[in-house]
Order: sequence, then structure tokens, then C-alpha cells
Amino acid sequence: MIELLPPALILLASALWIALVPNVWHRLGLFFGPVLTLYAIWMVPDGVSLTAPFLDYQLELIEASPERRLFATIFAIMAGVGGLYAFNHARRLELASAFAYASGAIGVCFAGDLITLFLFWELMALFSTLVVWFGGTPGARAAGVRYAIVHLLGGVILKVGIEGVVVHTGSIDIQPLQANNFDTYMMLAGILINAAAPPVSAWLSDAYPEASPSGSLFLSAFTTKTAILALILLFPGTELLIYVGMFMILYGIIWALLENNVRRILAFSIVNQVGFMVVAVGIGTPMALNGATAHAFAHIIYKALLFMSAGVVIYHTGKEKCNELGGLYRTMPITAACGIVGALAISSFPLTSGFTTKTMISEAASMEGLVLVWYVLAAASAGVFLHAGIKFPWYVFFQKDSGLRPKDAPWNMSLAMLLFVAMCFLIGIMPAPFYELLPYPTDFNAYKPGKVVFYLQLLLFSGLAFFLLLPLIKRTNTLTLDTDWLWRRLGKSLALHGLNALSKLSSAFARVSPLVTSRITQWANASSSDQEQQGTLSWSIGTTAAWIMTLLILYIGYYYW
Amino acid sequence: MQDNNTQRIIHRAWFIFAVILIATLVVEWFVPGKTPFESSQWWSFGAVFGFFSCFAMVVFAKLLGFVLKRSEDYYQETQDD
Repeated sequence: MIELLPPALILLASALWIALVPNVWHRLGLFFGPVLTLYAIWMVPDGVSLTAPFLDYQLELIEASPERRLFATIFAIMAGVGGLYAFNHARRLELASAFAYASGAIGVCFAGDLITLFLFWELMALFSTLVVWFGGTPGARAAGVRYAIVHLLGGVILKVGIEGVVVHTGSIDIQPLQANNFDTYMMLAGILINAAAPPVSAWLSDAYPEASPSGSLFLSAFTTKTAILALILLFPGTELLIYVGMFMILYGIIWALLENNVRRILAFSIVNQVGFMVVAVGIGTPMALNGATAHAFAHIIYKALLFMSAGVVIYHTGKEKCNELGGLYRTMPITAACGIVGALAISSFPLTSGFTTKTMISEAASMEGLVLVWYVLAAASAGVFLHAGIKFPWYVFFQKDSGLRPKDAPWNMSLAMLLFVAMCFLIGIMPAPFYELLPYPTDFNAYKPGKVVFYLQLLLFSGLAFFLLLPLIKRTNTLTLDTDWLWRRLGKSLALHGLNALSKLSSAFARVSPLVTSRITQWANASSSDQEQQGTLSWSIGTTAAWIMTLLILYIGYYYW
Repeated sequence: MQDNNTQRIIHRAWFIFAVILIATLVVEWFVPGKTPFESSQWWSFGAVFGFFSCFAMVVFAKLLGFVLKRSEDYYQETQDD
């Protein structure tokens, strides 16, 4: 029976269960939702298995292939382990929103046509915004609004591209495209916005750290990685992506080095890691696409591990600035150990998942003779160790005695972290079974002795550089300007000047027409009254989330049948 | 002030770290580094490249910080304007 249901719908139903079922019974959805979804994912046969008519088109609601299945699998695992981690702390509706967000990601994975892809794409945008808002602070509300604007704009750009492709080719199929005209460039831009590519990378480091610690955990997994899958399916081998990816890699490192907030460091390192995947899609060979897929899978695990570790620290200390933390290994040995494993994996240390997946991308670059790309990837591997591999655990768990003596993680958080630690080592030590699941057959051997020696030298000497240059990277209570300055400062300033000019114009006009003046005054009063209510929404976020989820599930249920 | 015990642990950690670093260089005499391009196939390339690329990134970040760093309430100030 379960195998007949679309995997995304199962997870969406579990989100509804979590939202509506009272008391502790909602926790059944946290466990059974991901488990049944995983089962359904692996029951879906390759090819198109569910279609529906829509206008003049035949929608392909479920189309499976190895890369689609692998992405969906890690999304379902992430939802399950994230639920285990968060169920004691997160609000019920926050968890429900996170599960609905994950179901959108899984829906994208199995979308066989552009219309279905777009539907689930927007589902993700909607529920991920709610997850940001569940941060519950004024900062989270403001960041959520900015996040929603960027993603809705990205959705519009993607939709324009899709419409163009559909009108000009007559096909809604998801198939490799050449980025060589307005339509395809718009599609590419819409997808790259979700991948946190320049010039709008700032949405990620702006929004993710404002969510609750468990919200950040869920946010770290889905949006950027579905964008990678979309790039793999639609734009493999697009050379432009190599340069975009290299920029993302270096941007992530430099901005993370300047950052003081722990979760923002991890957010920048998401951009950095996604950059590796974007480069791989740009190279576009079977080895590179295997690398992008494998690295996305591994990245979700170790990045979640880092966010979980940081989350435990934030829950128990209420602090997340590097210069306020330190010495926590004394009372948080499990959290510290798990964070260190995540840090080693993101740095692609031998025996961890990062090593067996990221080196596939470097191998793909060298096989194609891309010398510059290979050198940038090698330098970036050293840089990752610098900004995330050492910096995160050093400042949080060692560095100095901050005087803080928080308790270690509770059992559910420890178990969630240990599960992902096991997966990091499993893929790192025995990668062969994992390689079997990749979209193209491969005999890649990550553990050639010379290669291991090269990476050990690269990483350990970058560690030496870190400790020798510590005075240069001393933490300060500052933020680093990013492209969001354009809309948070310049745009706002222009808007205020525009409003002032409008006000003067209306004053001048008022002298001519008292009637018009009274209307404008009424309108202005109504607007300012609305603004005053911004901090206290007449509907709570939870109520809004529940209503949106109910309506959407009804709509999607209707859409499937 | 760090006590003597902490100082001793730090010195010992540095010593172990130095031994590991040297070991990775010595091992390369027996297992030549496997890099794909001729320009990178010389002894200790990984060590030199790793160290100096990180050095360059830290210095670049530091210089960029002089231009781009602002106080934490930078955007808050504009909200209050």
C-alpha cells in the first residue's frame, strides 16, 4: 500500500499529523513519517511511475533515477534524525513546518516535469520561511521577510524561465538544457538563487542563524541541495557553473574567516561546500556528477552534525559568539567529539565521508585537465580546514576557559549526533557500497597512498597556518558587509528618500486640494497603524503555519488525484 | 594567567603536532605524493601549498575586514533611523 503513495505526500501527511495531533502522540509522526517515506522512496521504480493530466500537459508526478533516489533518501534521513534531535525542544508546529519543507524537497527530487518541480519548489520556499520565523525573535521575523522576498523573487525568475522553455519547446520534461537563451538563463538564475550563488549568497547567512537551533539544522539540508539536484538534472556540463562555483568556494571561506557568530560561520561554509558541488555540475562528466551527488549526500550529514553540535551549545549556554565561548570540552565531551568529527568530515580528512566524496570532484577536474580548477579546489580544501575544520571546534570547545560549565547533550540529541557520526565514518572508511548507489558506475579509489599523503600534508599544514596566524584572526564583535547591504541599507535609504520626496509633493498638492489631503492622511494613518502591529501579528506564526499547511495538503492531495 | 599544568599540556600538544607534521613530510620520501599535474609533483608540495594558501586567505580576509567590518548593530542603527 505504502509503495503506491508518493514519498513526498507521506512526509507531508506526517507533517499534518505532527501539527494537529495533540499531546505526545504527534511524536509518532516524527518517527513513522520518515521511515515510511524512506520505504516508499526505495519502492519507486526507475522511470516515470505516476502521471496526471493538467491543462494540455501530462504531468509526471513521480520519476525516479539513482541520483533522484539518493537525494530523496538523505532528505528523509535528515528529517528523521532532525526530528529525533529536536523533539524535546522545538515547538510542534516548527517541526511540522520542517517536515512539510522536507516533503517539498523530496517532491522536487521525484518531479518528472517542470510544473511539478515548480510546485514543490515553492512549497519549500513557503515552509522554510516559516521555519526561519519560528526563531521567534524580531531578528528572525525580519530575516524571514528578507528570506521570503529573495525566494519568492527567485521563484518568479524560475517560473519565467520555465514558461519560456515550455512555450518555445512545447515540452515540460525535465531534461538537460543548454544555457544559451533568455529562457534557460532565467531558469538557471532561479535555481542558482536557491543554491546561494552570487550575487545573492547573503540570504543564507542572513536567515539561517536567525532560526532556532533546530530550525537552522533543518534549513542547512534542503534548499541548497535541491538546487544542486536541479542543476544536475537540467544544466550538467554548463561551463559557467565552474566559475560560479569557484567564487562560492572562496567567498564562503573568506567571509567565514571574518565571522564571529558560530552559526553564521557554518552558514558561510554551506555556501563554500555547495560551491564544490556547483563546480562539479559545471564539469559535467560522469565522475563529476557522481562527485556532486556523493558530496551533497555526505555534506548534509556532516553539516547537520556541525549544526547539531552548535545547537546543543546554544541551547545550554544561550551564547553563539566565538569570543564568548571556549573550554566547553570539559563538560560537553560528547557534543565536542561529535562536532570535531563533523569538522574533520567537512575538511575531507581521510577516513571521513568528506574525503571519499570531495576528492571525486578534484579527480574529475584533473581528468579533464582543468589545472586552475584543481588548484583552486586544493587551496579551498585547505581553506575549509582553516575556517570550519579548526575554527569552529577551537573557538567553541577549546581556546580559553570561558567559565561556562553547561551540561552535555540530552540522550536524544546525543543519539542523533552519534547516528550521523557513524554515517560519516561509514562512508569514509567503506565507501564502496555507497559508490554503488551513485548514478554512474565508478571504480574510483580515494585511498591511493600518495593521494592520502598529499591531503594529510595539505590539511595539517593549513592547521599550522591557523595556529601561527591566530593573532590575525582574533574575534571581534562585528559583522561583515555583504551584498545584502544593497537592499538592507542602500535600498532602504533610497526608499526613504523617495517617500520624503513623495511627502513633499503631497504637501504641495495639499495646498491645492484639501480633500485629497484628508484622504492621503487617512491612508498614511492606516499604514502606520499596520507598521506598529508588525511586532505582534494578529495571527501567531503557529496558527498561520497550521492554516497554510492544512490548505496546502488539501490542495496537493487534490493535485495527485 | 595560564597555570603550569596548562602550559605543559600546550607544549606537549605542540610537540606532538610538530612530530606529526614532520612525519607527513618524511613519509613522502617513501610514498611519493600523488598529484595529477607536473607542476605539483615535487616533494612537500602539499605542505607548502596548504600552508601558503591558508596564509594568503587569512591575510586577504584581514585586509578585506578593514573595509567591510562594521559594528554588530550596524543594521539595527538603520532601523532606528
